[in-house]
Amino acid sequence: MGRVITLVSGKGGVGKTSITANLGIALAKRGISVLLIDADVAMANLSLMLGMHSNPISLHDVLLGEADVEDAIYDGPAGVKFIPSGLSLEGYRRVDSERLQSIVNSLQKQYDFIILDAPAGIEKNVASAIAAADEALLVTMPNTLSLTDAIKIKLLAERLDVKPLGIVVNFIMGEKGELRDYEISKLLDELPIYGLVPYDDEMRRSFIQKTPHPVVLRRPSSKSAVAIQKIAAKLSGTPISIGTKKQIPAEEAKKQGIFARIIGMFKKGKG
Amino acid sequence: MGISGALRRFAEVVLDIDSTELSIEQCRALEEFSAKMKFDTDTSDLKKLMGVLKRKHLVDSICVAKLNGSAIASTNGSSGTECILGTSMFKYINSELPKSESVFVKVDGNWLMIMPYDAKMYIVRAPSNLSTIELKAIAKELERALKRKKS
Repeated sequence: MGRVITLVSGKGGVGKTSITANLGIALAKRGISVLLIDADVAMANLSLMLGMHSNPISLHDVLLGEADVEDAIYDGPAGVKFIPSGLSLEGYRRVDSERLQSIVNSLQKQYDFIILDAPAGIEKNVASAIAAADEALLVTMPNTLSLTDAIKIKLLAERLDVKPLGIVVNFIMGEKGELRDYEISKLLDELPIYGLVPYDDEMRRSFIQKTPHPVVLRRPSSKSAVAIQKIAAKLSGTPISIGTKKQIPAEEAKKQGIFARIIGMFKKGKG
Repeated sequence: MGISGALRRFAEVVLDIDSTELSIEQCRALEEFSAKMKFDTDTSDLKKLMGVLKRKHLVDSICVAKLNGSAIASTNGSSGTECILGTSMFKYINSELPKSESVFVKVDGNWLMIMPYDAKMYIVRAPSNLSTIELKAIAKELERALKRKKS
């Protein structure tokens, strides 16, 4: 039986969908069979992040009982399999997201990992996405606003009898006002930190392309891609082997003084 | 923004000065909030567990009954009446609408929710309606406790 993990955040805009897309690909690149499911039945955009636009059969059709789940599985980048959610509002109004659990159960034997991208918020569709999984990975930003919602979503997962697995802290800038990883873990009842993903322009740019390519494919040695590959390594228990380019963590870079940064700029120019 | 403010902002951008600060008050509030949200369900005491589940799921009462209406466990005193009411209501609805999975009734602004699970009837009252997913989660936790109690 494969592991079923839902990525949840409570708050929107914390980068949950981009982490899902990249994490799925990072796992698939390790030769692991991965199925990504866009469980955001109202505001689906995982397919766009994966650079896949034409998906005639979607999760909406499967939830409505109008299509077989196997017909809604598409080949994504790097060998990842993918079930998109429909984009139509009409479809969203008709679907019963509570059926998601039985759909996931029917696929669990076929994959090493099934990763669900949950919607933001705390409503029924979020509960359905969480309940369909065995474990929940919380995605948050290192600030109190985002963390408040993460605490609520952890509680929701516990209410639904789903184990909160750990925390992924995204968009780390290394600023003084940010919560540190140990503070985040403490506020979430000592939940382990699964990944620290620095803010990276490469991540943002990877989705603003003619055909979007997740950053682990487009720039595998960028700061954010390296961090996500570390999460994949931790989840799968496989060793880390990432690009050769030396990465400076965001926090370390911030600690550098202005002269060190100017010297660094000259060094870059030479290279 | 005055001239000095504009100059400060300009300097911050040029010199990449970090003017952010962590709000200690917000952290403290979060800590208090997080501490309130801890629920220890790892207990073999069924009555204690039901009390914890009541707070965890923000419900007024939980009753577990056999399918014939006899009470197994409850968080309130009037469990006998509640169990008979719940099971008979579900049986009636199910006879009219076969394959019913649950019954939700809004009574005087509150909700009465009835759901069979693993040959038992779960009757829950709450100020707001729970999803059947959450009702199942309550049932699963209680089911585990009942099994622990048996063994």
